[in-house]
Amino acid sequence: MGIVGKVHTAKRTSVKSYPNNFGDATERGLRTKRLIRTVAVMFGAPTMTSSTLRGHNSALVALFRNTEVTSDFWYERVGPAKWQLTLGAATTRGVAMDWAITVEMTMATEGPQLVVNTFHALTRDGALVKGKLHDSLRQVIGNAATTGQQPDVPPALLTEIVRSSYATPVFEIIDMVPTQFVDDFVIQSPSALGEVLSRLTLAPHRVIESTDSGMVFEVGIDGFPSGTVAVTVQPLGDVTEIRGEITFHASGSAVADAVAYRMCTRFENELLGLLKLFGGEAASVQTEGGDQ
Amino acid sequence: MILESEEESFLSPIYLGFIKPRDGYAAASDLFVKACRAVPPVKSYRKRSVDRRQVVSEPHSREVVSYKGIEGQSLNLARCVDRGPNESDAQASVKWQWEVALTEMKKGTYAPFIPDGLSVYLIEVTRFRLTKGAVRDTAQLALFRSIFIQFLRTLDPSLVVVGGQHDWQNPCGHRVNTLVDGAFDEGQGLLGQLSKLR
Repeated sequence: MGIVGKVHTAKRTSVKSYPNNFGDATERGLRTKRLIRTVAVMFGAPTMTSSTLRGHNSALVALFRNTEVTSDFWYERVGPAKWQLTLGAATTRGVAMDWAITVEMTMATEGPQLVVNTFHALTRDGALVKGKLHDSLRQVIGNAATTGQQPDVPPALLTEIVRSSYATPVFEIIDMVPTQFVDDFVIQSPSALGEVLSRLTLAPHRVIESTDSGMVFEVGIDGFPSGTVAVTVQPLGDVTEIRGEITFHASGSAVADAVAYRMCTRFENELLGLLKLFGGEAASVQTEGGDQ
Repeated sequence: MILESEEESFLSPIYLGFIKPRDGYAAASDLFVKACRAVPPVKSYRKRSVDRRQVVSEPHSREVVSYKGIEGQSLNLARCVDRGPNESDAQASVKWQWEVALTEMKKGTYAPFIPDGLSVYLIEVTRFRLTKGAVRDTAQLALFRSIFIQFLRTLDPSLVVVGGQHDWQNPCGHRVNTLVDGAFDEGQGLLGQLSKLR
């Protein structure tokens, strides 16, 4: 079995080239990318188990630990036109691969090709572990490239993947909005008032009010107004003073509030960056509320 | 019809056409970094070997971090990573859940979908991971992409967006809450569009 299995495994994991018939140069790139994504989702969807046991583990490990864990499937773009698909188990030592395949778009004398290569394969008694899935994946890629047709994916499978993906376990957000929100800020800039106002327009937040002396920004996710930053600008001697007043309104969504909180806490730095961007200088001013 | 295949799924690439607000201002790249920082981190746990027999579970922060792009391929990368206590961005980068790349494309490549003369950018998912039939941390991915587009739209309200799931507005009542409340309504309108995961 061992030698026969090894020969068979060597054959099924060898490098293979398929003509890439996904249209002209631009289309080919887009359609090939889509093919690899689709294949990753199709073959990564089934729930499987992989062993974390590898050659460097002693036999005792298998006695003391459960070495069969839920498999993971990794999709990675590893070059401008090269992808890697990996099936295996995540372990504390890294990925214990069952197999890993690269797919690369190349140009040969006979035309554009899709080159498929299994560069890592786990075997047992010479036979490829999860070999049927491996063969099937390579076959789907080869057929699609040769015919120029995307593989058919059962709609029910897609719906289930979307449902499962959005129903991931509940996570706890780390930076919840504190009762004492964020401090207001004061910035001084040597730029003229008009220039400061024009730079304010580059802050990536929705402007809800704009006057000759400042702007009011809505901060947070569209449709979930959680915070406002009222910025007033006035000349003060040789400099222009920019005052920001931050107000927070809980939107009812913890995530939207956390997003707004993060945006508000970074608003002052954003503004400093914009003021310095075109050669101007600007500095935060310490206020009674604490170090800004 | 080069974009006909790019449907509205959360893994499909998104093509963006817009007018840069001012010469020399790297709007897309800057806003991409800002969008990374806007996604709230969540708690996660990872196992670590203490010795040959003992494995402990350690708390991590699962967050979206921006990295420099790969020369000739992308301007910036956003990775959802697990950061352990006192770990740097580089150390955390290997513990990824997904990755999105921002690339500037040649003008006119995607006309007529994106009119000539507009700056064209592409955001595509370049790494993702599936476990038990689910793409990991999809909610953060969708949130990140929608925040980035929201930022761009504030600078250019006529922003052209083609492909990929990007509109957080429609399903957000449930989608945003999914992270903390576990709420999920299968009747939401975007679900049908998302189901076209091809």
